[in-house]
Amino acid sequence: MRTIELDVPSWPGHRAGQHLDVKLTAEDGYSAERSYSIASAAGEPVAITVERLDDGEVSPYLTEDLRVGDELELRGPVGGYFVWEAADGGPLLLVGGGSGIVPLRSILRQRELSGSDAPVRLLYSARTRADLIYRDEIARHRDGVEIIYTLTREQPADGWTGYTRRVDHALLAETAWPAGKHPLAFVCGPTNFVETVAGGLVALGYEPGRVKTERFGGTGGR
Amino acid sequence: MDELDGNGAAGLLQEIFGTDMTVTAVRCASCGAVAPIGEAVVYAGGPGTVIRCRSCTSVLVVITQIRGMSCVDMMGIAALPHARSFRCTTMRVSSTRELMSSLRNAWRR
Repeated sequence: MRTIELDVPSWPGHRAGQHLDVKLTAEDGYSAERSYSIASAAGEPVAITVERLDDGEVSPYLTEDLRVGDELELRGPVGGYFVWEAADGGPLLLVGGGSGIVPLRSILRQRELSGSDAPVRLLYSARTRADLIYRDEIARHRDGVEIIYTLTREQPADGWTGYTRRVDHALLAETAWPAGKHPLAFVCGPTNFVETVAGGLVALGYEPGRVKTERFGGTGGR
Repeated sequence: MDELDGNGAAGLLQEIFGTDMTVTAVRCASCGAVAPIGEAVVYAGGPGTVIRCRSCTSVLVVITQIRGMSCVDMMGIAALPHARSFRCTTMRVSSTRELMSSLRNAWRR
């Protein structure tokens, strides 16, 4: 996992939750393009956090070979669906699986920077404690943010106060805002994870139009 | 092949349509479900990008790009907002301007 800050001279500015596309072109003309969530808030320098996928075409280069000063071909900011601005208010339910935390981090930073007092609950699922990213940063927040962690492949012996189970209907019922508070939910992660969470929230009475989803593929395992 | 959602095709769609399409609600010609493109199922790993309806899995849009030209097939979309009657068609376009003009003509027919 690597966070890369990009200096884009003509960047028009972005909103929390948007993406950018990175295109790599080989000498023989072959090119591969991937979409990455922007990890920084509006007004901050553009940053992406990239998870290395062993069979990936783009992520191994971005996580291992890219050096300060290298140039990248970018397209962005793009997307307007999975986006939060302070005026959208809350309460916010943010549910992230694995690297699905990246756009949620952007939303959390946006809330911090904008001075919004929208109450937030973040439910963050990862395989092990070592897989939790931005953990120190997430812990430093203004009032009104509750963080709930769950680990799916580790049962830490010492001092772990989070859950150690998969996110399912029962865990959502226990941790999500009650539907009566008219919450706005953002769910990001592997496809199966997002399907489970979005379906679970709608079953709990959340309005489908207020459950925003973003799936980054994969088979889950978080 | 990786299954993404419409957010993953946001850049490609914006390049072709000249505006963000992920918040645009479209009606599936097959089952009639109306949903924003951001919610649709996207397969981007093949030679082209295929966008399918999340309700019935029918193909909504196929986009292929070759030699600077974009081929946009919207056979599976029954309705786009702001279009009173929309009859689908396959379009080969090389620029946003050309696509918008093709769309206007399609809507007039």
